[in-house]
Amino acid sequence: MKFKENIKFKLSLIFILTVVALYFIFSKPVKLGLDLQGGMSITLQVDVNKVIELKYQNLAKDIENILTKNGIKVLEAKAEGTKGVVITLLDPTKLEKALNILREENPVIDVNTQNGALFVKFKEWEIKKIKDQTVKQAIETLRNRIDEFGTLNPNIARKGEDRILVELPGVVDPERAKAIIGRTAQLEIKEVVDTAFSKEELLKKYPNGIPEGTEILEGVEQKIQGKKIKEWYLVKKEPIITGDMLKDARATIDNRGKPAVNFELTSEGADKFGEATAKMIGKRLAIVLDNKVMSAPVVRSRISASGQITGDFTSEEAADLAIVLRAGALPAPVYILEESVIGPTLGKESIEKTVKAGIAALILVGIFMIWRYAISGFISIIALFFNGLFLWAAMVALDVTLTLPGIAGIILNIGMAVDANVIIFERIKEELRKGMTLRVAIEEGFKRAWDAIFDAQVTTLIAAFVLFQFGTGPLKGFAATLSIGTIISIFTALYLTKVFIDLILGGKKQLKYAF
Amino acid sequence: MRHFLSTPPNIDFLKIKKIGYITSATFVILSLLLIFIKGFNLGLDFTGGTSIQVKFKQQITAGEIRKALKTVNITDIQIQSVGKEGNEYEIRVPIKVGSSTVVYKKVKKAFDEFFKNKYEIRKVEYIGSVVGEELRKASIYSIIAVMIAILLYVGYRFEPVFAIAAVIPLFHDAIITLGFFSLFGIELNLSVIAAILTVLGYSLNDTIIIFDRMRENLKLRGKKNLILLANQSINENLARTLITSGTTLFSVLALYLFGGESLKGFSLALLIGIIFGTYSSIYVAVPLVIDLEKYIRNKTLKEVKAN
Repeated sequence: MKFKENIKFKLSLIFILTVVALYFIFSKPVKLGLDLQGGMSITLQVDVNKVIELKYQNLAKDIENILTKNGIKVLEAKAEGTKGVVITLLDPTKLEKALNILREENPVIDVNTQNGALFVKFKEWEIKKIKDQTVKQAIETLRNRIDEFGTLNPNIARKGEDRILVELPGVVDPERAKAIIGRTAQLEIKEVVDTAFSKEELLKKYPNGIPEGTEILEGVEQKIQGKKIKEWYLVKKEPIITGDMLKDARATIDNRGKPAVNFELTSEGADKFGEATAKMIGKRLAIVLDNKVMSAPVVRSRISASGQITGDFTSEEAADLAIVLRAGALPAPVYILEESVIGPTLGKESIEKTVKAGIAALILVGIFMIWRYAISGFISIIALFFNGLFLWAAMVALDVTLTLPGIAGIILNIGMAVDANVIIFERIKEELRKGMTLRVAIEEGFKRAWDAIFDAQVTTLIAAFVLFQFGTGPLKGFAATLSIGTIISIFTALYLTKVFIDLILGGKKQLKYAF
Repeated sequence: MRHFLSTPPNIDFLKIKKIGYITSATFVILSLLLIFIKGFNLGLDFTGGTSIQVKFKQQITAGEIRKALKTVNITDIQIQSVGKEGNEYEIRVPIKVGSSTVVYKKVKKAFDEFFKNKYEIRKVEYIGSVVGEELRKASIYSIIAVMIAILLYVGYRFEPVFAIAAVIPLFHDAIITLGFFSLFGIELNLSVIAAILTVLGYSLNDTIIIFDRMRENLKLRGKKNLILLANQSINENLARTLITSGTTLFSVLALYLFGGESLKGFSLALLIGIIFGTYSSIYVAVPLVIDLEKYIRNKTLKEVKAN
């Protein structure tokens, strides 16, 4: 009885697959997308150009040093945004020599002459490397901040060349989370040269322009005896210390009983700071955060290892500031490109609604199939259950995130998965009408329908793959369930249905209500 | 009904070929006119901006929301009711008002004052203008990419004539679905584009099933009487064409009726697409195969004569 042996083998294969599927299903829950469980997702754009600009500014200084050291006098070394650095020499005849020196000294730059000056640019791969490192560093910083913020299961991933996707499930206060994520948190301590209560007032003091190496910074508004006061500061550009010399930062209460942030410096930072403050007694220091002067205390004695940032903080703001300082500054500013916050109740409702839709689809399709194809229709519905089971297992195994459109894809799959069965069954009916026996008709039906089914499913897959390529978060979920479902439905509709039909109808020559 | 179309009918589908062409052309031209003149009600995905979904504890009219938001200088907004209870709204604020943080704070301030604690913000979405532009481009590219991929695949599996005849109806289906969205001002967003892409893949199913039968019959009978062969292929397949579309429509209908507000546009696009897809595989795709085949044959005949 070869036929029976064959069936036994096929049944055991299905049995094993089912056990494996059940194992996956019970091993862990399927990952829910943010649109189903609630939470926030943000796409950030890292402003990598700011970093390139900064690197060119430093490069301009470096080049000037190198050339001067080699006895070539530089008239001007100017960074031109993200384009490169233009160097004008005092003696244009030395252009060729300068060119050679620079090429030898710095392997990551391209040096050319342009209108009698030197034009220096980073090599393409160096720019790429800088951008890449910036984004990686930004991800690292964000990860530290979010870990400290205390969100469960955050997802921080790179998206394209210069974008970062941050997903925070179950976040209750999105504005606070955004404030923590988006803050550059560049801490600098600078020497104050002069102050005034408005920018105009400050500029008036320097009719010939502000001294070289200084800049004007805005202070934060502070309430002093009920009056709102804002100071403007003229500070030295070069910071005494920067945030990367920070060892720790903690929220605390200052001597007026207001929330503040205490910071501690690394030993290198402490040395530098001590040296500088020893010379600055009686002068003011500006504590600058993201280019805004938070406070400007007067140096009373040499300070080394620690300092305090005061301002008009609430205790929550102080705690958040401590988090971002501890986690470090972002290497470049970030902007929110895309954002979505979904409340937990909406997510739950979406699940309820789509489950209802799924059940409705299943009932409608089920009734129709059994009515039209009797016993075989019933078998195709059983196959549909297996289809759902395998689909679920595959999603768990492949770590696919279930989204709202993803559920829609599953429901659509209910209708599309029986398509293959319809094509086969109609073919069998046709063969039966020609007077074939049940056995032969079944074999013919399955064999002849294969080409059409294969072609039809492949085109659906093509569309799903393209969608997967271009789609964002939730839509990717749709494309994923649609394509996995389509592949699985080829198996369940052609193989599984065949085995069950063979098992129940196979031995018989004719049977009423077989189809 | 169990025996509905149990024996193949004998309908002369190709007799009304011209009517089919004219009907389709009319629909396509009307759709294109609508798209160019009226345009689309573009969703947040493409325009950028902030969308806030709010549920109130009691019934509130859109007018009250407008009044509340006017106090914080948010005026140029779209308010759409969500669900049937009249207490949930989606408010869309254009991108020029500011970032989501700015909008959120303003809306919250206005609502706190007007509606006290009797509201819940359920969803905030923000799309920057750069992203909107990118998504618009990506949508067009992906629709084109799907068409080309399908053209190549069908060309590979069948004859080139079939490939061309299979892809033209896809444009037809996509354009008419889009025309429908333009006509009724239904929001066009990313999930609608996803639905259209799915329809492109799906509506081809019907076409391929008929083409498959034509391929089979061609092998049996050759190219002698193409019209008879095509008619026969459609008739033999009519039951399965209608039933496969039918079962899928059941699922989509369930999705449309019970799936909730956010899947409405998506399932509507699928509904329209599948209906027109079924129609176009019979009345556009098959006649095109015949006419293209005839055209090529006449041309070669002329060339032979000329030589």
